[in-house]
Amino acid sequence: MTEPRFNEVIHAPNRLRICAILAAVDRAEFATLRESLGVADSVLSKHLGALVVAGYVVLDKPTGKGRVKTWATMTGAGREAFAGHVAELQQIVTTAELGSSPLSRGE
Amino acid sequence: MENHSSDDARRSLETIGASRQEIAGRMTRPRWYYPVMGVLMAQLVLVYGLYEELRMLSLVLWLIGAFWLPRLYVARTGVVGRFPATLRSGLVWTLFLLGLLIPMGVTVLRDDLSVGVVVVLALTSLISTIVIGQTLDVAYRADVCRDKELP
Repeated sequence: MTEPRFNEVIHAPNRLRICAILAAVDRAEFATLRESLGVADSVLSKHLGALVVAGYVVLDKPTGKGRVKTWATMTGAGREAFAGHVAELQQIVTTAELGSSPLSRGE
Repeated sequence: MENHSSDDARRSLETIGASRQEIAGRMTRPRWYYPVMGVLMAQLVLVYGLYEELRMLSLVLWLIGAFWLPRLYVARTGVVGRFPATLRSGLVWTLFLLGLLIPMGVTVLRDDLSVGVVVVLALTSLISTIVIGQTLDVAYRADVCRDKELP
């Protein structure tokens, strides 16, 4: 069971979207993330850099023929942190819904 | 710690859902993907059962396809999926493999098959690859779109 835990690093909108994608796949290419987010290279680099520093994402540039592509993969710690963050968001929403229900107000 | 409102949390969850929907849409395999895979499998079954002298050529053709098709797909989408991630997609994946292996296995193990039976097995291989392959694609994208965090 994932422990709900709010994560400031993940919560920033662009980083949340990056994590949402990376948690659902094995790895994604830099260009795919950039197109999906609709941001400039520099913006994506900055956010990926923050996730790399936090230990949530690793970047890989496999060498071979043709253009070198950068692939981003979420680490185990990243998946755990993202799962905790999602659980916390769900808990906030559930608590608010329960708080506003007629039953909880004693109606 | 900063207090986060339920509206903010709800918006964040919607953002996660929308991002996953978007990436799942990108992961749709091209229309020709499974028909090509099916033809590769069917020709392997057909040639193995009927034309012994062409077996090596058929196998080489199949290997080239099996090597390039997934790579072409990854290059096109820029995503490598985590699959299978649920019991449902695992079952579809198993069914897909059985659809590939059973016709080929019967052809390899039985050397007394009539032309008609080999043709039926090849057609079974072609159709099952296309039909179950497309079901697999749907299951694949459903895994990506799941609301909860993947295990």
